[in-house]
Amino acid sequence: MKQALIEIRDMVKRYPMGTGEFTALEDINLDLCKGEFAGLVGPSGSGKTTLLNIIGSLDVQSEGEVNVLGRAIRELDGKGSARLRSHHIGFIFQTYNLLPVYSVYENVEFPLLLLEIESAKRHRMVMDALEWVDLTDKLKSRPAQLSGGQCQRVAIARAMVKKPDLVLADEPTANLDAENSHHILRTMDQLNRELSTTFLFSTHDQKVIQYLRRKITLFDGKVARDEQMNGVA
Amino acid sequence: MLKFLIKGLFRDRSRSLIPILVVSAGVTLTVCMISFMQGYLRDMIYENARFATGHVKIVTRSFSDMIDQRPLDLALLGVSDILDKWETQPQSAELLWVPRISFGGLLDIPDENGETRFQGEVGGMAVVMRPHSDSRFDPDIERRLLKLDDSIVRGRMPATPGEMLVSEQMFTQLDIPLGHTASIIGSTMFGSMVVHNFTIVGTIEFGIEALDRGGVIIDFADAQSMLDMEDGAGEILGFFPDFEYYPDRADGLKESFNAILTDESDEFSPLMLTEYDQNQLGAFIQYSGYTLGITMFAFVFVMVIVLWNAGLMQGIRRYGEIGVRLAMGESKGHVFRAMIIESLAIGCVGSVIGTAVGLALSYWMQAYGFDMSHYMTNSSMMMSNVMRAHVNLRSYLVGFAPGIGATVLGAAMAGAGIFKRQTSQLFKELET
Amino acid sequence: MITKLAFRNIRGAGLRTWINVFILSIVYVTIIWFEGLYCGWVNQAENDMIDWEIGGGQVVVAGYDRFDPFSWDDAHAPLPASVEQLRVDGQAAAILVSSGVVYPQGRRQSVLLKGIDTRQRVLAIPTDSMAVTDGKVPIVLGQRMAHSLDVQQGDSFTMKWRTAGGAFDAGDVTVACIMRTTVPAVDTGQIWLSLEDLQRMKELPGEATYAVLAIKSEEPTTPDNWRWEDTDFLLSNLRAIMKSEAAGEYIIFAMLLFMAMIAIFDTQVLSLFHRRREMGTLLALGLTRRQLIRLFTLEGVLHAVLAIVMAAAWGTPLLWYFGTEGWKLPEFYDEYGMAGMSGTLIFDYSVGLVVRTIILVVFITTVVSWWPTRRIARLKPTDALRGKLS
Repeated sequence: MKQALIEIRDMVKRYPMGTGEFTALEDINLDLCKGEFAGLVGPSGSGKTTLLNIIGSLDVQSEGEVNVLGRAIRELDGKGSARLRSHHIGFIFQTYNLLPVYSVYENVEFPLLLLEIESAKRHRMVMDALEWVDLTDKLKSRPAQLSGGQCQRVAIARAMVKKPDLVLADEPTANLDAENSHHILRTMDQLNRELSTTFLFSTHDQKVIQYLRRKITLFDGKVARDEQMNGVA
Repeated sequence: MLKFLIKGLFRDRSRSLIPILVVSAGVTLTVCMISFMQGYLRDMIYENARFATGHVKIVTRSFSDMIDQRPLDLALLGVSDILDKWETQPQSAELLWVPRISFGGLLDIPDENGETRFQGEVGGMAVVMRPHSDSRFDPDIERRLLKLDDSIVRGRMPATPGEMLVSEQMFTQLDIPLGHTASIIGSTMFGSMVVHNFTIVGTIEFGIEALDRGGVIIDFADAQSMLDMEDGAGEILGFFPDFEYYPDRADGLKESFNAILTDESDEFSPLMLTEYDQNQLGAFIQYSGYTLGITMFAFVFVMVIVLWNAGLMQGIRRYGEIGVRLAMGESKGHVFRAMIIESLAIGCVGSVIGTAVGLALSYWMQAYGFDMSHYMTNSSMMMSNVMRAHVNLRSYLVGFAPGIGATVLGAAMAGAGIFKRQTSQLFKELET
Repeated sequence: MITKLAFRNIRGAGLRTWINVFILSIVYVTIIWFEGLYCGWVNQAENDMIDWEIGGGQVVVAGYDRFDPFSWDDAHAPLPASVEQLRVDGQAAAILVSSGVVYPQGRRQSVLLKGIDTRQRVLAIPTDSMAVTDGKVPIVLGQRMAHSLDVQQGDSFTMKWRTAGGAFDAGDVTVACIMRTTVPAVDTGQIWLSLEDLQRMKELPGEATYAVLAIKSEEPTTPDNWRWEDTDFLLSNLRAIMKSEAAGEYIIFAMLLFMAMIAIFDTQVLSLFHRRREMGTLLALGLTRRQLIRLFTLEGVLHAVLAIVMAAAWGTPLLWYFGTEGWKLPEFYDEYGMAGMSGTLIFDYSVGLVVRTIILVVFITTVVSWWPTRRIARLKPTDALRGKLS
């Protein structure tokens, strides 16, 4: 049995809504192991992003247990969850969310600054990451000067630069055309294989789904199906 | 990390420009107001000291009760004894002394036949202007204090006994030539009538309305003999050698002088007063300080509120950025601290700009001044007719406390609002 | 409809709106407070000067200069007939000036003597009290003069003067009344007595140095050796001072307004940036660009309008206090020698002042609110809907 990176047991998430409550996720039981390339699939409103946020310790479940890298999400205080994210988790967003005032290089460098890595090593790591995504020629550009695909590659480099154990990608291709989508998916697939970083997507994009090696289908806040896939390669 | 923050700050003009404008405006005003007030008070302290109060002043106890009238009959006698006794004290070396006599009288200008041509009441001031072999007082001190060389409009300083300076304003009205004779008809210290003849050798203008309206200046020794005041003086003014006033030192000297020389049972025994004891100057300066303080407080208050608002708006602009940074594993406290550091940088830059502009304006006001002679026509205050700002080290530094303080406080108030929210909620706003 | 929408929008911004409104309310109250102080002082100074010193203008004999002691003894003449008639009608007060010396406690002090009609009703000088006599000449002096001479009501001392012929004469005077006035020009260095007494003492029957006319007097016809100085002329010095004083205030107002306008400008820029999608939606719903500009401008202006209400709420008690109780000036203001600058200063706010302030602030706010919205005119609804703003 492979080492479990994420363990979720009987998890429920409710939001206050008006006078009552709205149940976003219910009865979730999941394990994710190191090196998986998995996706949460389902229509909008099925709870994909909520689950991703809880795994990323940006949110807390209402009931049940969630362990990420051996840490119980519920037990983490603000500092603890920040530490978990800064050391072990990378995020990729649908809207890239690059910091517009910083250059490509500086955006990628930012997570390393948080980890207080010394500058020579930092430079090496940033250059490595930019090489993975093939953007070494755009170091000084600002996000506004890049295409959508290039922005998302910067975001991948930013998520990967610290070599996290887990990357959470929320609809990473939603704003991209087919060619760019395939480009970044191939990049992520390759990184997954080379660095054995675990990837967890949330998506309803068929292009993404065909790359997945595990597909977890959510419907109405519940896991409807959990199946192994072949992936493209 | 700091470099990183600062870079971001100044690349995004919406983050820096508006707060810097606010801070600069507030700091400019602070610097100008402080410099102007400093100039105003310093001038006032200086003008009062040199013309009327000294940094300290020795008079008789009964003279001090009626100091407005400067009653000659209550003048000091035995000046040498008093100063000899005081100068045995070690701290006496801290002061320079100049004796003065103020007197009133009728100035009589005769025509060529010796008949009265003009006659009018004048105020007179006797100061040490001529070197005197048996005198302990140095004429150079008065020369510097009253800026006699610069204040002479025509003619020259008295050089021999019986010579007199008159105010330029009065001289033009009299329409007589220099070298003309003038008599003073007055009374001596002991009340007997006296007529003394002088030659007008020069005219003088101090730029102080209260003095320039009409007055004569004679040498101290002439006045002593005219007013029958051998070894006497109306008042003896003491000055710190650099001619700057030090209130605390003056108070200390006053205490020791009065402890040694004042005799509570003798109304003619000498008494030392400080500058702030006289003409309600101390009260005035305190009051000016309060007024300035309240105005400054109000301005800093408005600045804080404007910056608070600017900070809140920054928060909205930067929800996205903050969300990403939290997702990347920055803690809320770290983001908050980063915002405070940013505001510190903004505060510094704004304060530097504001100080520079404020100083430029203040230097301009120091060089050119502001003519107030209109104000002074009825004034009995010893105040220069031209108000000037005064720039000193304090002008350079004074803007930074409100400038940086307001920015940081504003940012902290705005930041606190953001961080009361849950991370997940902030994160959700990122998605919209 | 747009007004309603604008109002709802800025209420939706919550705390930020109220901060802006509060800043603007500070601007209103500060301007009105300072201007109230200023008007209060101007009014008090002008009224007091008119009441005590200058009346409705003065007819002055040639050669008299009140700042030149050498002119005091020689400037006198019989009043012109026209002025004499006004005097008989109670429309003018004749004043004779002389230099003099007094000896309170035996000490000599130069003074300016002013003899004034005891029956006059033109100036507030308490001439009635000059009628009381115990054989000595009754005099009236101001509180500053009484303080510097160290005399009280009822005190007597010797006074010396010169007659028209040049001879010295002396006699005793009694302080009949000490008057409280904010006008140093009738107080410092002066002693008032009755015209008849001074004319008799100076041996100048029927002569005067100047006459003060009642308020709203016309310029009387006078011979060449008399000149007419009207109220505006006599107040011109005071007004020049007031103007330079006002300049300092305007700098403070400008700085305050500047800061408030930065806040409004920032708010407008942010709401344009933040609400791109909303603008697109509104355009899609059929609003014209012009209406959209009007909506956003109105939102900015509403801050200034709400600030009126807030300023009224917290400013009224404050302004009321200074308008009724006034501001007690510290004693040393006496030494400045400025009319109106002593005792308690009652602030004076006019409706015009409040309206002017409101118009000024609302106008500037309108310009500042409108300025950033101009870019709406170039806005493409399709871009706006996608969240773009050119």
